[in-house]
This record gives sequence, C-alpha cells and structure tokens, in this order.
Amino acid sequence: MSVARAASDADKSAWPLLRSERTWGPFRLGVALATAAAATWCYLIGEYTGYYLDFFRGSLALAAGSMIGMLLVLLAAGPLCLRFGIDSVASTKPQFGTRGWVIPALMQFVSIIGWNSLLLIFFAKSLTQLLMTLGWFAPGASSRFVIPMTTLFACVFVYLVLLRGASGVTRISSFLVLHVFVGLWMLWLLVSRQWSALMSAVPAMARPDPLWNYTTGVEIGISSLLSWWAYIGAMIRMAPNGRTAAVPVMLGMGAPVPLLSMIGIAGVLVLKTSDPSSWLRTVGGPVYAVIALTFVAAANLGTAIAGIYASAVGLRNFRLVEKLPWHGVLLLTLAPVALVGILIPEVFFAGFGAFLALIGVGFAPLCGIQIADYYVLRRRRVDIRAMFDASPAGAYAFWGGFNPAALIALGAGCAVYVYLLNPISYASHGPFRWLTASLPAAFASGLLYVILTRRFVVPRRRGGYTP
Amino acid sequence: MLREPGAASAGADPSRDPLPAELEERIAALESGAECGEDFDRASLVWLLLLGVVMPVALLAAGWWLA
Repeated sequence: MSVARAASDADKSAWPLLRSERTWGPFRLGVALATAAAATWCYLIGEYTGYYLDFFRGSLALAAGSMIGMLLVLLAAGPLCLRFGIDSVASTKPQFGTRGWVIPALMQFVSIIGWNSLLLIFFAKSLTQLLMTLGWFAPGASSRFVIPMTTLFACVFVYLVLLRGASGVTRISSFLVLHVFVGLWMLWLLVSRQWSALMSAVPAMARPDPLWNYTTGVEIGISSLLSWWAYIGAMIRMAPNGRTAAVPVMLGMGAPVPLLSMIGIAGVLVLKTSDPSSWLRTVGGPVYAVIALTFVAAANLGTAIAGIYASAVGLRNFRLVEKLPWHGVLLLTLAPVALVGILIPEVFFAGFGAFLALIGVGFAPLCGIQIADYYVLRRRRVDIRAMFDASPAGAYAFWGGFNPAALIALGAGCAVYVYLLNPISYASHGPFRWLTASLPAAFASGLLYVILTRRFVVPRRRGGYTP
Repeated sequence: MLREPGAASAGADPSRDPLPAELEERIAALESGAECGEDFDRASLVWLLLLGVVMPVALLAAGWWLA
C-alpha cells in the first residue's frame, strides 16, 4: 500500500492522523462544526428551557450553560485529539486503559445513535409536513408509512455521502451551513410577529423558586453541549493545532445551539410548540413554510452526517471493526438508527426528554476525569504509543486493560449527578440550585480520580504516571 | 512506501506485540515530533477563558439582574 493511498483513507480509521493530513483551517472547521451543531434538537432543547424560563432569561441561561459545556468538552478531549489526530474514544485510553475505553466508546455510540435517530425522525416529520404543504401528500393521511420510508431514505443519503469519509462531511457542510441563517430568519419571524405575546408569556412548568428555574436552564445548556464530546474528536482531529481549533469550536459548535434554541423557547412560550414545521405555516404562510421546512430537513441531515461519521470512527477502535471495509462500518453504524426510525419512531420521539437528561449523567464525569488526568496528573505528558499498545505490559494496560480508578470515579460522578438532579423527574437535592448538576459531577469525579490515582495507581507503577 | 506488517521502528519495543505497519509508521512519525499537532497555546487559552468562563458569567449576571 502506498503512502498516498494510506493517507487518503486515514480519515476513515481510528489511527492517528499525521499533521500533513490535517488540513482543516479555522473557517472549514467552524463551518463543519456549525453544520453539525445546528439541527432541530435546538428546538427541543429550547422547548425544555421554555418550560421553566421566560424568553430573555431562558436564552441567556442556555447560552451561558452551552459555552460552559463546550469548554468542558474541549478541555477534556481536545488536547489529545489535536496533538495526535485521534478521536474522542481513543483519547480516553490514558484514563480508562487499553480495554476500559470500551465504556466511553459505548457511551459515544449510544449518544450518537440516540441523537441521530431523533434527528432523522425529525427529518422525516419535516419532510412529511413539507409534502403536505406542497399538496403532494394528503393532509391528515397516516404518517405511519411515510416517516419510516423517509428515515430510510435519509440513512441511504448519509451512507452515500460518508463513503468519502471526512471529505464528505466538509463538502456537504459547506452547503448545509446555510440553514443556520434560515434558522435565525425563523427566529426573527417569530419574535417580530409575536413580540407582545412573547413578552407576556409565562413558562408552563416554572417553579416558585426563580433560582431553581434559572439553574435548570443553565443545566440544560451544559448537559446538551456535553453530548458534543462524542462528536468533537472526529472533527477537530482534522485541524493541525489548538490555535486553529479553539475559537471555531467555541463559536462554531457552542454558539449555534443556544442561538437556534431561542426558536424553541419562543415557540413553546407563544405557540405551545417548539417545532417550526408546525407553526411556520400559521405565522408566515405556505411559502415561508416550504422554505423553512426544506432547510429544517437539510439541517438534520448535516448533523446526522457528522454524527454517523464520528460514531463510525469511534467504532474503528474495536479490533473487529478496525478490519472491516469502510462501507461495512457505515452500515454497522447506520443500522440501529434505521431500525429506531422504522420500527419505533413515535416511542423514541416521546422519550426524548429523559434521553436528553441522561446525556449529562455520563459525560460530565467523563470530562472531569479527562481534564484531571491530563492537566493535573500527567501534566500534558502522554505516550501515544502506549495508547495503541494492547499488550499487558503497556503503560496504559493498568490491570487487565482496565483502570479501576477511572471506573470508580465515573460511577461516583454519575451518582453525584443523579443525587443533585434526577434526570427523569427533575427532582433536585442539595446545592443543585446554586451549582447545577453537571459541574459538581465533573468536579467530584475529577477529584476522586486524582485521589485514587495518587493513592493506589501511582504507587503500584501502573498507568505510566511519573511518580 | 509503508513498512511491511510487523516491521519495528526505532521507537518500538521488540518485547511487545507488533503493531500494524501503517499504525507503527504513524506512531513513529508522531513520536519524532515532526507530524505531531500542538496543544492549546497561550492565545487560544485566553480565548477559551473569555468564551468559556468570562462570557457565561457575564450572560448569567445579565440574565439574573437585568432580564
């Protein structure tokens, strides 16, 4: 195999990318990230915020939480992905071990499959609505057949685009990024025409404690953005250094979510629905509806393409998947999404709230552990060879390939989160109203990881730490 | 051309299982430093501080006291 051939396929593997292969500059990275971030989940995130907060407070709380969550994700996975051209899953090997990385890999897989199933169902719903608006599909007709078929169509489209690997992501994103501006136009449309109603709207589920409501808005922002951990490595490893990635990640990936979520906040406050495909025809007429629905559908496709790419690269870390042809990995990644979209779209759509809340439970402690390991324990010294050395003598083999300190810290972080905020019922305890749930969970898991590592791992000369 | 499978580089430990040739070559290139990317520098850390800490604090304060 020639170097040129190997280089051309490098973005389809989980192996490190060389600097010469990492050609995305700030603009290209920012566009790809913005396309990935901006999708109709923003409307749902906004909807959940709008249950507790008015438009201004909800928007500001969500924006603050989103930027905090983005920072956590970038500090956790960013350094190793940028230095060695690896994905998010591979970046967990120094903490979880040469076999323990399977746990973050499963978290990534479940998160991406969950999000993308939701997006493609949303895509199918938007397309169905669009066909009805155009008169090509009878209003009121059953969508039981149309939604599964359009989901399948979307999966085939994503598959065809991603046969080109990362270049497929960047080619499609340079076009689909336009939907961000359409989203802002929709926001303007809603705000300008419903201003007085928006200002007088009362959040439906607001509690008597205004601080609790405000903190919940921040928490929704943090936990939503923490799910970008699953995506970020596969994208930023295409950039050559931290300077190229820092601002595009924070603004390209962190900012579009709260901006577009304002549509959801305004929608649920004024019209009692966050889905623009439901209210655009009412607010702007059929022409507006067609334009917006087209781009809403496009937005979800752009995000799904980035998500499936990131998940496929993550799966490449498994020895069995590593040897599969790229199209086989894509099929393996897309199959669960297609099955959810075809078999249980409505059930899955209805359970999104719990799914969204569960995201933060796992990713906040994971970020805390990675940040503590890289900046406190290893002081930025990481052995790239040890990350791919699966032998028992490898520096990151720990005990049988697993690091008990990371597993305990992850479990403890999840317990802290659930104690502070039950992700299903939103019942909260203790200092949640002051601190959120994600931040204490990340801090507690990071602190416990440092203590356990210094007390038990380093003295036994495991993990490649410098005593 | 890439090395044949199992070929060891200067950085490889012969007592360990050999890595696939292409992966071995990539790791050797990263270990040499020539093909390695760079962590956040001082300027990017300042941006992260501004966008990830200062701006959220300002937004939260504005939302709480002004909205």
